[in-house]
Amino acid sequence: MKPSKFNSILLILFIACIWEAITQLNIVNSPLFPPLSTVISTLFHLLISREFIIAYFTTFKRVIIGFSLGVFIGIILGILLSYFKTLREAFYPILAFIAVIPVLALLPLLMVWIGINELLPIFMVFLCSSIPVIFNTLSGLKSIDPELVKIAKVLGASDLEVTYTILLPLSLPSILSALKIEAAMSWKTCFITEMLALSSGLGYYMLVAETTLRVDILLASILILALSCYIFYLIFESIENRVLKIWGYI
Amino acid sequence: MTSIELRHISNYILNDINLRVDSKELMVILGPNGAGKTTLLNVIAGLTKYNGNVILDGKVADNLPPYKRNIGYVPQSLALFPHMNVYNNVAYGLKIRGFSKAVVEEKVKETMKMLGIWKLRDKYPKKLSGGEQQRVAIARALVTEPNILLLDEPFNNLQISLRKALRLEVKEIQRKLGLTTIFVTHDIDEAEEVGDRIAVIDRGRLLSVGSYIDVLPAISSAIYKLNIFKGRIVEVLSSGLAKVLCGDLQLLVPVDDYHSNVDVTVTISPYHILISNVKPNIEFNTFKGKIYEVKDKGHYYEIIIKVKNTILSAYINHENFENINLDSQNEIYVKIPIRYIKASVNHHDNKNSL
Repeated sequence: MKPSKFNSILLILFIACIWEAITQLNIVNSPLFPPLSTVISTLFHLLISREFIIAYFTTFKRVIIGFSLGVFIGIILGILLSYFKTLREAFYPILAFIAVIPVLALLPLLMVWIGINELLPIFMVFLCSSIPVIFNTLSGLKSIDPELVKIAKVLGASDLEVTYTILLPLSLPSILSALKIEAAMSWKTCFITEMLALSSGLGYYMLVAETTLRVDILLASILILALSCYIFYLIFESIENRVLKIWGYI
Repeated sequence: MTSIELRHISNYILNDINLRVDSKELMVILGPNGAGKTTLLNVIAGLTKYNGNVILDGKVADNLPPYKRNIGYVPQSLALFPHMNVYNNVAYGLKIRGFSKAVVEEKVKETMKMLGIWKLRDKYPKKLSGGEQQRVAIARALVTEPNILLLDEPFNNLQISLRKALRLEVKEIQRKLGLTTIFVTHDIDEAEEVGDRIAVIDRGRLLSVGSYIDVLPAISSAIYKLNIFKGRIVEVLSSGLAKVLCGDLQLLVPVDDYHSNVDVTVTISPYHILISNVKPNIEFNTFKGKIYEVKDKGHYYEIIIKVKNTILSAYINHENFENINLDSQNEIYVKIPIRYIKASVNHHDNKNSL
């Protein structure tokens, strides 16, 4: 194990011990601050609770659909904007404007326009993931050496073939670095949308726990949410590292 | 095999270029940076806009897209696909053209073995040395069996020894495959060594086409001023040297098996002429002369020296210049190091066709 990892595990264990100690020794004695052992036991109960599993997978489904659509359409739009200069000039300022608005600020508006239904969280996730993917695809494509395209054409590649054999693979590192951040962001966006607007999913599940003051459930859910975000991040980071390693960049 | 003919080629860089490259010929395009050499290759490959006609194998090719011109192109940057291993880099053109897997493998293997890079097939370009990358780029250009090979300063970033070995190899491959080849360079020695003929271009214009000796005056005006003399070998020494009489100067010059009484053209780069106030210890290639004129050229001084009745031009940087007392009419000593003198035999059967 690397020393850096070892140190961070040591710190986590230390915090866990302090937490457990101050609650077990009644230094802090409040139902609003349960011992760690209770939180962990609640976590295991949640993992086998039908209600929680349904809530989790409702959120999971929304994240996956919204995120996949966002990535797919983001990459296509990125390629189109990079290919057609007029399109790029027309759309770039609008996209840059949308990019700086926090997606959650659009929620009230979208609640009115889309309505409170299944499409709302999916569209929110779609919005938060597609815009950064468009920008990173554009910048990834822009950084590709034009000589590579020239050679591919001399060797017989059509524009479409150049796109999927040269441009798309080479902008992959740039796209992946957007994905790894936006994947976690998608979970957060979906979660908050559920809290604020919906009556299903992990966000809503936590809202209910809050009204019954089940702090253990709240903490356990936060842990599960954080883990889900982190796993998504790790997946894309490992793909990115793998790609760069194969190509000899790292 | 294909001949290349350029008729009145003009665009944003080139200015009315007319050039014919015969089938199986290796034509060197020589010129300084920014002369339009790469643009000329791009015109032939159909990668840039132009006015005029490109005629390949007697047929007007102006409307043909790059791949239909059947050209192998090695660009200056090599442009190896960084996300593909060596095998896939070389195989790219064949795969794109829809050859079956078996055919692709057979042709790729054959070409890579010819260039001695088959063992590198699983490596990625970033992991290769400069020379290996060079070979991969050449293999990728050759594997589609082009009629024409365009090489754009292919050995620019390599060490001198490797450059020399690779250019001999390229020439050998070119001969073996009988490829009509255009080799772009700004290196005079490379041009002389590689080219059947040399075309000198500068600022988008074609200055001269012909053998090395034919184009020497053009080289001298386009790349840098050379001291060019007509001379005759008077005695061949056993050590690969010969005594050459150029006007009233007798020079000791490196030669490759030339005989006595052969007419040669001697060139001396003005960067390598040494000037001193004190008589050097070495006798040969050392002359007493007078400074005729000193011209400030910005980064250096051009010193015009008169040795007997011969005029020599020497470039000296500011630092060295200040160490020597160089008033006009001063007597000084001129020394020309053997390795910077070049003698080429005057052939009289050169083709000068444009």
